[in-house]
Order: sequence, then structure tokens, then C-alpha cells
Amino acid sequence: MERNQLHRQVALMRKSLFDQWLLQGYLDDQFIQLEELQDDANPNFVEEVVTLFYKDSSRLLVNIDQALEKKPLDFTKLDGYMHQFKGSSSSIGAKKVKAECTQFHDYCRAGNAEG
Amino acid sequence: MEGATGNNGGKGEHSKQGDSVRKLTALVMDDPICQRVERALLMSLDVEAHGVDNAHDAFKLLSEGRSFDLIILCSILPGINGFMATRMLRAMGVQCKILGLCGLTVEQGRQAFLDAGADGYYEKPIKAAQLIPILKEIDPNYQPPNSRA
Repeated sequence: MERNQLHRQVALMRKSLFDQWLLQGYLDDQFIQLEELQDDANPNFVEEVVTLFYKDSSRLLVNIDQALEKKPLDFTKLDGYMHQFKGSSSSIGAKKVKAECTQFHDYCRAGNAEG
Repeated sequence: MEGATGNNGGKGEHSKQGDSVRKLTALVMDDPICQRVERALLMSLDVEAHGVDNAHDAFKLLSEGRSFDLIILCSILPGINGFMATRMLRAMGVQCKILGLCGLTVEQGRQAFLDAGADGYYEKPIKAAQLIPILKEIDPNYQPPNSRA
């Protein structure tokens, strides 16, 4: 049936994309763990978690942007957002995002020391 | 954001090796994304995992008489944070294993969490290899399921 074919094709495309990201260092082992958690009982697990992550990180990034506009900077709040962002990006295996968060966190700590 | 969530839709045994009389149960207290991943991991280890995204809902469940073999909680939660929640859980008389999770700087919070009454403190993402020994401590008869095909 056409629909199944399309579903299969989307699945193949998604797999290629994720394989690319794995190779390029955007994703790490944890992502493979997620794929292994997908099964008949949780057939769309990876897609659901990744979608949730995108939505949540958009929201977090807006919050972070807004927090960065405030003067003086509220490092505690920023730290909280970063903590959450790093937690969720680690959980899905978004290796690069996790690294950027750690960097941001380090900047915040340095900034806090100055401020 | 939702509060307490029930079982994962995949109810029923996966019939890996149904020797245990009763499945271990866990409560995960974390943001929706991490919760989803942690619960899926626990389910894959044959643990019945429930989730809430804040401490208040966890206390509510417990005061309604629910009990769990394991509680896993993030250090940062809306409202009461994980550290305080751990202290409150112990004060409430919760005696099961409690594990703290953090997204950043695991060393910083470790001692505080352990002093608050947690049995362990891990950096996210928590792994099966870290959970299995704890599950075995909780139930000496616990066996992790065979890996899926």
C-alpha cells in the first residue's frame, strides 16, 4: 500500500540523516541507546523524543535569549536553563549541543565570578 | 506540562523470563524529555516506571499510598528542587533507593545529595549498566531481560 511505502521511505530518510549526524559528531552513543529502546511497544519512540526535544529546546532558547537581555545578568536563572538544556540534550545524545551547553555554563561561571 | 503520568502504553509482560513474582516499580521525577528516556530505559529493564515532572506530584502519589522500589530524580525540578525533595522523601519515611541525576557538574552536588539521603548521584544520561547493579541490590532475584532481537 502506498502509505506504508511512504512511511518506510521516511524511516529510511530519517535513518540516513541520523547516520550522517552520528558520523559528523552531532550525535553520540546515547542516540544509539534511544534507537535500541524503540520496539513494538514503543514504535515511534525516537521520533517522539526528538520532537519533544526540538519543541522544548526552542522554548528554552527563547527563555535564554530573554534572560540574556536583562541587566545585570541573572546567572542563577541562566544556569538553571543550561542545566535543563544539557540534561535533555545528553538524554537524547545530542553531543554537540551538550558540548555547547557546557561551554556556555563555563562562561556563566566565569561571568558570575567577575560580576 | 502534565503532572503525573501513568504506565507506558505497553502494558503487560514482554515475556522475557517471567520468573520474578513481581515487577520492580520506579518513580521518575524529571522534565518530560529526560523522563521519557529514563522511563523507556527502565521499562526495557523490565521495571514498571511512572513519571512526574515535579516533586509536589510525587508527594501526592506517595501520600495516596503508592510505593515504589526505586525513585530517580533530577536535581533541578520546578518548585521544590531535587535536593530538597530527597530530604523531604526521607523525612516522609520513604526508605526505597533514591538516585539523584544531574545535567551539569555532577561532583558539585554529589555529597549534598548523598547527605540528603540519596543512595547515588549520576550524570545524565543514566545507563543500564548503572541501573542494573542497583536493581539487583533492591531485589537479589532480579535479572535484566535478554537484549531484544
